[in-house]
Amino acid sequence: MSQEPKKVGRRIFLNYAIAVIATGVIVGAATYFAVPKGEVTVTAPGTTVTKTVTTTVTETSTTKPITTVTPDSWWADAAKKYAGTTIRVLTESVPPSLILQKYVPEFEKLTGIKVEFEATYYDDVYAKEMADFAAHTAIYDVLYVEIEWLGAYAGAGYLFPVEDMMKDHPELTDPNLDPDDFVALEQRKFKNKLYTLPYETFGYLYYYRKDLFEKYAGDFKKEYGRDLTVPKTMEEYEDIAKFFTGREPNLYGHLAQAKTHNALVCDWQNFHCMFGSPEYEKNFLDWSKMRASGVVNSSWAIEALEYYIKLLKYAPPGALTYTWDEAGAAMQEGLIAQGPFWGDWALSMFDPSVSKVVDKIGFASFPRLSKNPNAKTMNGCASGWGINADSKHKEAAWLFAQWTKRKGFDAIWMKDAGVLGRKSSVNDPAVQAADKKFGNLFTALLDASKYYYFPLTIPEYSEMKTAAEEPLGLAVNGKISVKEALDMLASRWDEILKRSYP
Amino acid sequence: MKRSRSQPWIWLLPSFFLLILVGIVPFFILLYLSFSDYFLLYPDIPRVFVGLKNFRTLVFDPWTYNALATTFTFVIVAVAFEMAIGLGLALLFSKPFKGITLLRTIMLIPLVIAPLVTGLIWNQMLNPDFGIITYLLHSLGLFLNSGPTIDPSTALLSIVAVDIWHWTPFVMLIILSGILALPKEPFEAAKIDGASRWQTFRNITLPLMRYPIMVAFLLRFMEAFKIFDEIWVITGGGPGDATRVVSIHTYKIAFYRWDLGYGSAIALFLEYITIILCSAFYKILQKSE
Repeated sequence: MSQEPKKVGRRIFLNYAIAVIATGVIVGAATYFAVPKGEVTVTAPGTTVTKTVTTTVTETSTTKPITTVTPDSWWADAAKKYAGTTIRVLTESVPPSLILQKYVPEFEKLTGIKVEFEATYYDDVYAKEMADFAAHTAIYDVLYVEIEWLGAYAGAGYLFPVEDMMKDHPELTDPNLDPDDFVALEQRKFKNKLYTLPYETFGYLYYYRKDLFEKYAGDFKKEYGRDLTVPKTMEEYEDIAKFFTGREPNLYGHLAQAKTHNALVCDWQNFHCMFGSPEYEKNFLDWSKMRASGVVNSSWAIEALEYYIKLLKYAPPGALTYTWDEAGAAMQEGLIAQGPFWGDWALSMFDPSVSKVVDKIGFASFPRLSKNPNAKTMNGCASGWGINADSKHKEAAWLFAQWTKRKGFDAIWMKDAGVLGRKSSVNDPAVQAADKKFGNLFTALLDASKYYYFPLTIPEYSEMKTAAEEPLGLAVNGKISVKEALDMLASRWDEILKRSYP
Repeated sequence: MKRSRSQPWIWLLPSFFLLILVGIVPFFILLYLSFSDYFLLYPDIPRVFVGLKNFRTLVFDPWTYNALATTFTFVIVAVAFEMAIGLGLALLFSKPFKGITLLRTIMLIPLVIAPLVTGLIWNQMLNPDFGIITYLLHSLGLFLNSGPTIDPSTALLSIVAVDIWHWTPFVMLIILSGILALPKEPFEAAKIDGASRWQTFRNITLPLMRYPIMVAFLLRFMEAFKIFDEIWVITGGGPGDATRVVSIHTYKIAFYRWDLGYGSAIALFLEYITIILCSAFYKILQKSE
């Protein structure tokens, strides 16, 4: 029996239409009056309700709703006095900065402030910043400040603290800046004062090839009697490293950055902490009261460096010449089945123009030693935007720094940058979707961040790190023994520490 | 028209000004810094005159000695090969043969490439994981699970090879221009007297060519002492300290450790050595005359 579709008459249709419009007007008016003037409600794309997010980024994270963002009109008004000014920004040429660079014209259009955005490699950023500080040339106004440079820069008075900027210029400070919303805010402070505006937070992650883990699951089970899964302990990690090395031509089971360079010191610190934390961590965080000798050259420290060197046999031979640039390229080339690597490179693995492993990479927190399961194992990195103390355009620079980290935009940037910014951005639907799309990247970052330790923000840290390069380089290249290298390192660090903390 | 005696000096002023600005002033700043304690990381520490302290540190610094030894090894091996090969190529290209113009042009290509770019190109070719040279060496059974730039015993030799590739054409060019400008008469006389090729080369070509050869040698010697870009890009001074020449050592001290005082002292010492050695070579040349 066929049933004729019910016809909707013109009158009924009009009644429904009027009801829908009236509801819309009432909801719209209610929303307008509910929100304080100058602010707008943020709604996630495709939804019609204001979102509440919960983050578990750090111990200090809180449940925070994304309530308000500052409208464009506020930025335009605040920047009126500075329209026509040119500011120069110096940052590292890594994916998060390159993503940000695309949005710079929007800022210029909105504020009339011209931005010269320079992205260069890590060592060059440091050299250029130091040269600019030394000569007081103020070439750069906004500076990318790595956590390990912060102590030196702030201690030397090279940076104008953003905390002072907030006090001196409330009219130029984003009403919704909400500093507590940033991940690892403490790591941007020097002597309890906020010196930089948090820009990005990330650290080492465990990278692995999902496709290879699937392909060789059976073979691995036959050989090792257990499933090939993401390792939880270093013992499991080592088995997998051994299993994959040479399994296919040019395939290796481990990744290292062992060039005599800052990258090697970062790698070493991972293993050093893995073996020595919490003892190392406790001492590491209070150098002013102790010396390096007896800690960085202790028996567990020797064991840690020996283990690091032992694992190099599972890494490509070229790892001895790798910094993060070459290590990233090796990962993108598909040479590596698993390994520890910096999280800010993660999304480049999904870029078909540079990567041969698109959609094949997964991320997780790095495994730990079974005998030291709660150790802080991996380096964390927390960089910020600093304002050059010599800059003649501090106000415009401050506006730019805040604009790049404003609520509402941070999540958009985060999902493409693959690093952490604001806590409130973590559960944004766009970031959540990116997490699923990119091998659980953000979940891994949040999990790994529980085990991150961050470099010290003391003025001597930068020098200490440089002083560690040579002894470690000689040890990994077999020119001196591990003990000799660590003794040399300890004596160098003590020399630096004694000068500042006699 | 009467010329004022001061006129030439007025025309020379811009050049003098530039020379003072980019040559003399930095030299005196370097001199001043080498006698000071100046750490850029700690500007609160006063920049004081410390006399010969930095030079005393230099005398007792094994890293600097090691860097000096590496530099001398590099300079002696690289320049010797460049001179020998450059002279041979110059003699080869001094006689006309079919395709000489094309070959000469090809030979000069490395010369027009900037040292940094040369470093980048060779860095790719010598890459231990996917470099073409490493691949060829692997297929010959050499450097298995290794590479010429990551083996401490061959890393410096790899850099020497790159330098020879880059700078031999320069030596060839200078010597070739000297050969082409030689008078024909002595050679014709030697031919009539029945001199062999070797006798002609040993007794006529070489003595007449000593000035261009010395110029090529001095220029290469001074430049090789300052090598930086290629090593920085290919090995960064490693593995370990295998290719850490003085310029890399100085850079690391001055711009990694930011110890500008000590860094300046090493730079000044390097300059002193170069001047002494070049003067010595020049004296030897004058005496042989």
